[in-house]
Amino acid sequence: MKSFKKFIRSDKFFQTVISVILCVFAVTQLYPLIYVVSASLSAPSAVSSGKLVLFPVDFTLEGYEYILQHKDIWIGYGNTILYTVLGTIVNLIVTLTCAYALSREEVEGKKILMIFFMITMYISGGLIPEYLNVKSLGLLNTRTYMIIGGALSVYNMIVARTFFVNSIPNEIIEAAKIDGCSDFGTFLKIVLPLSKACVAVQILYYGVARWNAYFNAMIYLDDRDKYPLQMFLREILIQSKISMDAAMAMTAEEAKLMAEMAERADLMKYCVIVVSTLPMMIIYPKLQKFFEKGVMIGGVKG
Amino acid sequence: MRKKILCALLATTLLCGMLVGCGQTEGKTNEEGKGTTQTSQTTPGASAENNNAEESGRISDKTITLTVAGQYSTGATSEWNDTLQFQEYEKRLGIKLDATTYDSETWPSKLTLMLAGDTMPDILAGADLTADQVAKYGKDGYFLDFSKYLDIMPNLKAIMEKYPQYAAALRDEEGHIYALPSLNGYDAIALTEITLINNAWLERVGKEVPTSLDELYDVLVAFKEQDANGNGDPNDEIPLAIAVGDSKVYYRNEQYILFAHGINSKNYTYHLMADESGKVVLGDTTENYKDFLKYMNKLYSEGLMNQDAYVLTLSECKELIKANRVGVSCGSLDCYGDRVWENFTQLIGFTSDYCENQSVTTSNRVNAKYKVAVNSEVKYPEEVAKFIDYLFTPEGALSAANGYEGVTFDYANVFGIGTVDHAKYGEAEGISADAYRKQEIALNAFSLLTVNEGTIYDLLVRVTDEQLVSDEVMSLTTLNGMRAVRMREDGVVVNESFPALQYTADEMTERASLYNDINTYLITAKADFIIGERDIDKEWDAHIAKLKEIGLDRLMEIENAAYARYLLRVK
Amino acid sequence: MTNVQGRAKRPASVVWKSILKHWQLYVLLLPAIIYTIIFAYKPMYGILMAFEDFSIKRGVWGSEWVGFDHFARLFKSYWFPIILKNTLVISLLNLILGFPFPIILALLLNEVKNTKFRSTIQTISYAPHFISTAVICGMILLFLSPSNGIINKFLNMLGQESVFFMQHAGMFKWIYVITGIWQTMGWSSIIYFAALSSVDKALLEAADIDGATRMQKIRFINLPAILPTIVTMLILQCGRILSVGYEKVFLLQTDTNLVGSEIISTYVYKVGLEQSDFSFSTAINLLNTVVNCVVLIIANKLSKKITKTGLF
Repeated sequence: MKSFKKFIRSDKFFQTVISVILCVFAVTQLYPLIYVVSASLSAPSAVSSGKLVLFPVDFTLEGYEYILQHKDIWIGYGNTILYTVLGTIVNLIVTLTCAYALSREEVEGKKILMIFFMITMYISGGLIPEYLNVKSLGLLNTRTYMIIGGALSVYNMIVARTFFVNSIPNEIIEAAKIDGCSDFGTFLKIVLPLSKACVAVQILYYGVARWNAYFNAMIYLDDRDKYPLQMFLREILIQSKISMDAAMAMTAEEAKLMAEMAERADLMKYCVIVVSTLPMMIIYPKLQKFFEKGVMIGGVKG
Repeated sequence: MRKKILCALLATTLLCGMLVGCGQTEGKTNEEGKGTTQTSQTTPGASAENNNAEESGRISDKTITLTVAGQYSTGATSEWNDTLQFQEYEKRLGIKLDATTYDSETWPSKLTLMLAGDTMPDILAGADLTADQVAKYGKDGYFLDFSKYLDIMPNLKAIMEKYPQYAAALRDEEGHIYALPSLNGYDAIALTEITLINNAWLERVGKEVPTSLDELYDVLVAFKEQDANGNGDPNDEIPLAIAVGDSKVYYRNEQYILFAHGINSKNYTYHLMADESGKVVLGDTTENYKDFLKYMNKLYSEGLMNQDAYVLTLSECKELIKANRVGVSCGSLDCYGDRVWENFTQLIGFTSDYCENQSVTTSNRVNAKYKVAVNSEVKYPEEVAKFIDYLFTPEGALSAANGYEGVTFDYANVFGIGTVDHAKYGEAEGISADAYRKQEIALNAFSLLTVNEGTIYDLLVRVTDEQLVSDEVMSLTTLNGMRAVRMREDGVVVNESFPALQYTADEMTERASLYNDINTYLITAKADFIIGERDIDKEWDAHIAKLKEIGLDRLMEIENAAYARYLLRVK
Repeated sequence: MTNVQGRAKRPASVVWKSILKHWQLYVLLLPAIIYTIIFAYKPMYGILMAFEDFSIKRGVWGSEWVGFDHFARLFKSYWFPIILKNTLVISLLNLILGFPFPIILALLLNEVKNTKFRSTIQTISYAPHFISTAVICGMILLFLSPSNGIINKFLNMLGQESVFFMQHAGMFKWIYVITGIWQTMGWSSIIYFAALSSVDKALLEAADIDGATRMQKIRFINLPAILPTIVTMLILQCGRILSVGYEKVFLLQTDTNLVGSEIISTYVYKVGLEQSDFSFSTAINLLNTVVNCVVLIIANKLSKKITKTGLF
């Protein structure tokens, strides 16, 4: 009996329980993922009739073949990588500097500044004034705006600030100052290296948002060669709605063509997710190591 | 009330010369006579020459460039500038169009921003403007007023005279013409519903194609009780399938049942109708509609209709049809196999206490959305006006939908009637005729008028009954052919649906909310009544009272005022 | 977090001296301030549309002033009480049920010793975040389908009748919220997980030496470490109480569940289909903003009182 109690308290038991819980959870999360991948490899009719449960039914690579033929997809990929990489760098610069400054006790009028920023979370001018504003700055249909537009997410900035306030011990900053470090120096040489987890979160949140963004492109871009990937993927998704129109087709040939297009679009809907998500899923584990325990403070203090 | 609506004729249908209505016996409205009133062209070759002679002059001697922004139709080309259609315009007319295109979801915001940002191009094509937008932007001075150029637009003028309802849609209260909707000029009846009954099922249960509501009920009962699909299981048949689970475009198996109750509307809910005196009432509040709901409720509660009608998705429904589980269905053509006209029969309205005749309702000839508008500051207003006018010539109308003979199509000869055929040109590029058309024509851009000549509608009007059912005609016309077969039966009556009305700015603002409130409520109420969530007899009065509480009376005042103005304009 | 106990008022000269001394901190603020002024504040005048009969031609400054007409239109609508209730119910349910899950997930993951296993689970847990709303909704409809859906097939196996999930107005909120949790919890847990990484290792070692149990360590070390993050997120969430996105709700609406699924944003969308009216949608956004801000300020006040920290 005693040994049983001991076992329950033991680390091994604890780990097992957690692992089981997490595995069950992972299955619920993994299922849709596998479903999407399988659907992207199955005949669309098998998917819509519910025949697809886990593994591909009536295996086909047609969807991927079609996507790979689509020359726009590659243009889109190039643009998206450009916008994501440069855009995220801009995001990090604007966000982290601001968050750090607002985390410092010495800054006057912090409350007012916070309100100044937070107002923009709630009140926006709306589509037309914002469009006119971008137009007046001469940034319409430019890659520049794709990169600097959305440079600051106040939400992310608050997350970063919370981290700086609570996770960077004041003593370290004080010590740096005594050593004659300027505010710039403290930020760059002391605070940032200690905030890898925070920076990683910011990269992830901004990066993914940039990667998935299409609204700015839709509104502010006209040239197709500047379109990011998501714009082309959206066009494919819009095509899948054609199945509704297929009912209006008048002749058998037309209906067949439309049905084929609709089926292809149905299939590509899933391929599109795989194609656009894959890079993110590959990059993520590289950022993950920054979340590992004790990377920062333990290291400094130790 | 009942009797009035029962036999009510839409004033518009009278005016456009299609004398129709439930009470009257006048079948074959789409028949021969009409086709010959067109500028007679028996051989297509000759027609092209005629037009060329007529239009020998280019619109502009020096090629002028006009910028275009437009919405491309889903599935068709987005590269309008690369189409043979646009290239031919440049060659033949001296008009070079330089287009930027957007998909259907981007277009509405782009349109607004173009106007707000003062970057509107010369022409908006495939623009899908609402009457409200046309009125607003027209008044603001964004759009060219064509009424000033009518003298150099003889073809448009002729069309306006021929179709007064088109003229009524074009002109606003002050007579300005700011934008043009598309006009269906087909003489054959263009239906959009597809509701097919399975011939093999009918045979197996020993029934004829139903022509009355009672017969329909009997057939559905037989489908349910017997092994209609012949797979050995008498319980897996779905007599009538409706799928509105995910499609915001509703699948309309029930439309013919609605027509049979004397409500000539193609809407899902909110059926406006006018009686003889020109008073507009909401069909959804009539006894007719109540009986319609009762009929549907009977089908639902007796299991003659699928129980999951309101959650069944479109693709699921198509799979059911393909699996031969459905007796009366409306999927898209691809689920019925190759020779659909042999295995299925199109349903075409039912007789009932309300309708002595099998009646169908067609869309209004005039599209509710406006397709083309021109920038008021365009550099060449006269040339643009002439170009728009060209689109109303037979050649121009055909060019916008099919291109030019010898360039994008040849005429195929079917029983001595020339029909447009892209097959040869498609073959040369290794694609189907239809794919070719979608690649070389900027569909949706400038197709303002559809005409019989060269289309399958010409065939449908002109072939004999025997020719109509031949494989040659059927494979070309399929659904329309199947309809035409039924439409040629005696006693089928065709109604035109209620026209789109124009509202004043104040009316519009008030109506937008009121209409949405009432329509959303009607949608939920309809579903609740049909699936028996609410009892029709017990709750009908409360239902009507609720509509009044939401503001039905005020809404009808607005509709009546707008309709009265419409009648004035048509006259 | 700002400490509640603000510094006592000091003479202006002292303040200026402090500013001069730490001028570099203000330089760090500049990019964000400049960006915000140019791209957020400059076009903000657009909010005036809410009180106008906006005309594109005349612009925001030239359009006719109509005061509170647009708000009145919304309040008068038959559907207003329904959409307000639905929006609040969905939003609150989402907050109450949805908020704890990412935290629990992060705490659990943090306890896993095997690095490989942990990072695998984490990567998997973000996956649903990347699936677009349209596809997610298609999958939800398919999974819940009475005839083909995996969930009803499972129920049938247990001898139960199929449930028409999408037909019942009352079920809508649960479907919306549960699928929402499922889709976002992994992604939302990132923040907490990152915050956990800053827990002082020395503290945990000291606790081990003192013989603390796992639960004690979680309760007294880990949880306090991420508490500021939790509070921040909670306050921010409260400030979104009326903002339920339109797309997912719209795609899951059926004729029969409308009474439970019509919310403010879908209502505005549908009215907009009839008449493209920037003023009306701006007015309703403004209304949302006002409510959201009030809730945010209250949440911030409460938080300051209870946890001694707040956003501002």
